[in-house]
Amino acid sequence: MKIQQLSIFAENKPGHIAAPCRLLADNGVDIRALSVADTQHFGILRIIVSDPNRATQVLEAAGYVVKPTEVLAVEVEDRPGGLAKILSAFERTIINIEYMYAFPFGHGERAVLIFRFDDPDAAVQALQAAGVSLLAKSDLFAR
Amino acid sequence: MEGTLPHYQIILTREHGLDQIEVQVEVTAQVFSDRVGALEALAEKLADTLERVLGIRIKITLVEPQTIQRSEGKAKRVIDKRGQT
Repeated sequence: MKIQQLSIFAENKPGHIAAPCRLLADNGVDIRALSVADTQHFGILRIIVSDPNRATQVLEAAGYVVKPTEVLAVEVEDRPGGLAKILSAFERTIINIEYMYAFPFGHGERAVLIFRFDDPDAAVQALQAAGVSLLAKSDLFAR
Repeated sequence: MEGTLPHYQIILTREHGLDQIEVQVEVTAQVFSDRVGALEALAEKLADTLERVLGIRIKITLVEPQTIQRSEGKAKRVIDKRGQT
């Protein structure tokens, strides 16, 4: 259920997000989801791609610093309160959500959110115990 | 400093008549974290370490790998931009 996300360090300057994206495109790597965490001087580009190994290889060969991270793709009811219901699964735990972002495509009639937890294994257990559906990578790339 | 590699460069500038010092440090695979807070803490730790040694607060900027020009001979560690407009 854990999905590999790649994180890339990028300076906060014009073109520094476009360049790695163009590199991946030139090498046939499909970006399915993307998020950018920014500060004044740098950003972290977080991507879920079709071929993480190929993506890592081409990015590192071009000099980028790339780090794989385990995230979870969580189905969320696409209605007011859908996210709150998911978050309630963690109210009585010590599991921390480090960040999350929306996946651009739904799964059936449900929305999908990408979560990074400080303890992914514990988060999987908590979510499954709460009856929350977690998606596999193949679900994210199904068209 | 533990956890960092020596690819760095010191940039001197002058702003409003005062000399400014910036140290640019390349991020490596060893120090890179997916968490913004961890990278900011690293820059803060570097600044604290330099302040303890030098007695002044220096700006630390994390930069991408291969940003700092390599040289075959002695590394050019100091870039003096004072006097440049």
